[in-house]
Amino acid sequence: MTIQKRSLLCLCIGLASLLFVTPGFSEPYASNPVSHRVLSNGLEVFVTENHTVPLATVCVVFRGGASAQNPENAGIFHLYEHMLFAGNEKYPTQAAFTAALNRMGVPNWNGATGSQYINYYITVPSNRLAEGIEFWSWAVKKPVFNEEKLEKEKEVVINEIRGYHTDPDHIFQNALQSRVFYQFPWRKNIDGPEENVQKATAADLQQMREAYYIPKNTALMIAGDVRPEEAFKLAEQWFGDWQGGAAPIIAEPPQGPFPHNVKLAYADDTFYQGVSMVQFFWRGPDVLRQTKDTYTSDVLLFLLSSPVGRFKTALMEKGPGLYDERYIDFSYPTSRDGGTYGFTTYLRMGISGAPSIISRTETLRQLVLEEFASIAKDPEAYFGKEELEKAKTKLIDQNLLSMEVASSFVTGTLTFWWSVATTDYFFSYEKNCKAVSFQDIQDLIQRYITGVDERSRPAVATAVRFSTADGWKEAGLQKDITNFGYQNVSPETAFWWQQQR
Amino acid sequence: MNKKHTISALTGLIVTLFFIGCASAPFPLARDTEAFTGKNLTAFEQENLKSFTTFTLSNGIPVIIKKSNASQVFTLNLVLRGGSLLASPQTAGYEQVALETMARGSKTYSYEDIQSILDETSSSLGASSTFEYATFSVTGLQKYLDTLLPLWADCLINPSFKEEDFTQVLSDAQLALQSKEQDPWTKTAVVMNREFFGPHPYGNVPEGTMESLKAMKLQDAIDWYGKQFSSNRIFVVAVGAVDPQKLRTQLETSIGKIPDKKVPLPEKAPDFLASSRLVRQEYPASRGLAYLRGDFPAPSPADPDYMAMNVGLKMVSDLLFNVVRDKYGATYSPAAYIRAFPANYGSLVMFKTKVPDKIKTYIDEALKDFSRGYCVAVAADTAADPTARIPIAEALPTYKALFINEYYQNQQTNAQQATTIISSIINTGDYRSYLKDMAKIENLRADQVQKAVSKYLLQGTITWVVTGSKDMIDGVPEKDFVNK
Repeated sequence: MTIQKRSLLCLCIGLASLLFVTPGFSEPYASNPVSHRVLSNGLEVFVTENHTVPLATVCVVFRGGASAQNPENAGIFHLYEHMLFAGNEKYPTQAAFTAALNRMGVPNWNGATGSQYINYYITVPSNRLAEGIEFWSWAVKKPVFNEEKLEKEKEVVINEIRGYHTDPDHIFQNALQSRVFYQFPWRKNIDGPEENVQKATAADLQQMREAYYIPKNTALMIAGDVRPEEAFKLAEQWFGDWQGGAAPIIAEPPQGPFPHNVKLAYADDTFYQGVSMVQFFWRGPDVLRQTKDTYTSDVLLFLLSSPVGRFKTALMEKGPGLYDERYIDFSYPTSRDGGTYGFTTYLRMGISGAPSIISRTETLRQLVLEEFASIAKDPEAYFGKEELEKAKTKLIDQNLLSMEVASSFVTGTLTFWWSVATTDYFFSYEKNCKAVSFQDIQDLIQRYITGVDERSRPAVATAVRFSTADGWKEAGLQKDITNFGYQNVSPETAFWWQQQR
Repeated sequence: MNKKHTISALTGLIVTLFFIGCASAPFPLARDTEAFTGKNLTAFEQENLKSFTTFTLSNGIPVIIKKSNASQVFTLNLVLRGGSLLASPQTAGYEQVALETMARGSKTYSYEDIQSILDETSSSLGASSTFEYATFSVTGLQKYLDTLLPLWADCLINPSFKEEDFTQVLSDAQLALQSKEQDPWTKTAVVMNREFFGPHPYGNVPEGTMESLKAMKLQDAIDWYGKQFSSNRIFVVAVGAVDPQKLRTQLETSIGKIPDKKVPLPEKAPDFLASSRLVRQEYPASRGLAYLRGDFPAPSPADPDYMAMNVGLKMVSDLLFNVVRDKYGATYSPAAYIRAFPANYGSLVMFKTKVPDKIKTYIDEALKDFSRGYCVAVAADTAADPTARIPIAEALPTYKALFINEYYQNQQTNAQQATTIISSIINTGDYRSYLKDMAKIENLRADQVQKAVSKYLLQGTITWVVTGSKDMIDGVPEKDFVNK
């Protein structure tokens, strides 16, 4: 365990953020060796050199995933991800597919379906790069959806998602998201209901392929012990003839503002005893709709990140029994749709004579809003000029750190930025973050978090999670849940499809 | 020259003279002299050896530096031998808590100073404990090394051990234990460790137990530091674009002061005494789902069977995937693997299954192919048939290549390289021994692979844990899992 990584309680925070964005927060590094070209069919190709080990990673990324779902096909992007490994015209079965990976000496292969993308990757010895690129070209261009295999793979997928549907972290986050994104909740849940998976047909997958698995909606990322010219040539050779229609429109119309008074309480048998988790959420900017605000948001995150900085110190001093400053987290996972600011912390339980956890949550929300109001009043006075520069340096350093491993850079960082935003956004990110001013921060906080006055205050959603053993010992808890308008979370009502039945 | 500079120059001269005086002493962590002489070295080994600098501090602490310019990140690790082997059920977790407390404050650096520096430099400082050793490490960007090294060193030689820091660390540690109860898979691991380790020293788990941590006081951490934090337990591994001479001086004047308390180092951990049984762990939240893991004693990295077992289990994993997942759709993720401890053990895993009552039959079907000397086909002309099998000898070159690539994959970061070097020392006493792994893999024969897997897995003694909702685990037939 390291101090900075806060691994102790990160399980909850980590899983919470998973639902917003799979790879976590990190940004591109301006002077990194990333080369980029667009083939005539619209396929974007990125090449990143890193000669540490004689390996190369080939990653194919498609925009889509949960953000492109509707109620009928929710969960099918994930099923498609599984089926892409199940066979194609050159490698007709999963066994043939796996054998080809083994013959290439692939030590690492996988696929992921996120809320905003689907990616697949393999790592090959660098002297077999050509085979690796050819391999994906077959999988992407010529998949075969065998009916018998599809039925088997549905069982595998149900094994997987049943684990998510019974996971208390997943239950808690879905309970919240299905309520704040009540218009299009299926755009925030990757796994979907089991019934959707059960009833999916090969024709459904074919339809999905034609809409999303096309060059104009795809990026090919090649990284590691590679030479850019050779990699671009191979990309053209194997993907140049790939055809498809226009890029699909994803996540339109946008998720709306949060409704007021979303307040959830989750008494969970498995949760930590001794602490409770408190979260506040605000509707944040969407990267293609409020682009500049996303840069400002990222700089703000770094301004607030120090455990001994003014923001966290103030909350520790004034807050009602906060556990530790290292577990105060303000997050903004950049999103194409449904951008969200999240504040997460932990409160100590069992404090003699203290008000209930619900009552203390109400107090804490007010304190957090007041602290943001203090920042908005005069950000320069609150932080000081030096802190703004430090925040920008931290942001650049994080980018340097993300570059250390070529494979994770493309499968995580670059995948994320390309699919969530655009190529231009990626390449101009650092420059735009450096331009963020205190005025930008003031405007941002007023528009998204505090409002300029009480009447214009944006909605804030509140979620509290505590152990059953701790919580019900607190005098007045049940009464406070009712009085303050909290809704109890249960595994039977957490997911969007349960609420619609 | 002012007085301060004069003293500093004299110190430097003394340190330099001392190093010259010690230049001929053999490096204590380079034992295998024959294997690393010129004629026995491959080109790969020769190339890697050039990147190492080794020396011994005046208090006997060996230091290994691997120069790597591949990334802008450095990692500096103080390693304390012993781990669980030096603990008891009563003191399990004490070392980890003490080290974490040290990372929160020292004579020169307050908690606020440390947090502020780590945040500004995007660096990490902290401790990690395993069955055989613990580390106290700092990792960050190269440009911050001169800021971070004095901080790391001061935490080690002048820890403040404040009550509030200890209380917070202890609370974190207790919550970390609780977190393992919150997930059916980590819960499976907890139960397995308890059942499989039994009275073995590894049962003194490095993270501690609720009982041991509940009894721990600040004075225990201070006592641990006073008695156990001894130079004879310590070595240092650094990887990055560091200047070895500069680092040597910095280390000599800081951790070179750690006294030798002559802590008795433990003998090699005994082998496991496993028993064949099935443990059912109810986890009500996992409705309609189960998690299965079987652990078995395995050869240590110093054992000639180790590489054969690693490569063999890759073949077994592919068979499990082919049969249990691909043919029957019975699990999300099947796997078989071993670890790399001196007292070693392996696991056979079925991560998420809704048919735990049937799954052992499917596992056995896959293992039966291996026991006949076959694995999944790899040739393009036969592999399209999911039931196609080929002799192990025919597939072996493919799996060797796969394993070698995996080896490279685990060397991508400087922190990964440091971990490999540390593991090499712990397992063999020689920091270079991991460089021989490539040759060991290349020289493997099919009969060695089949024999190793047969000995440790197919004929081995497996302790099984199945975790899930009651309806899931009650139906698992014990006879499928237990060898009478």
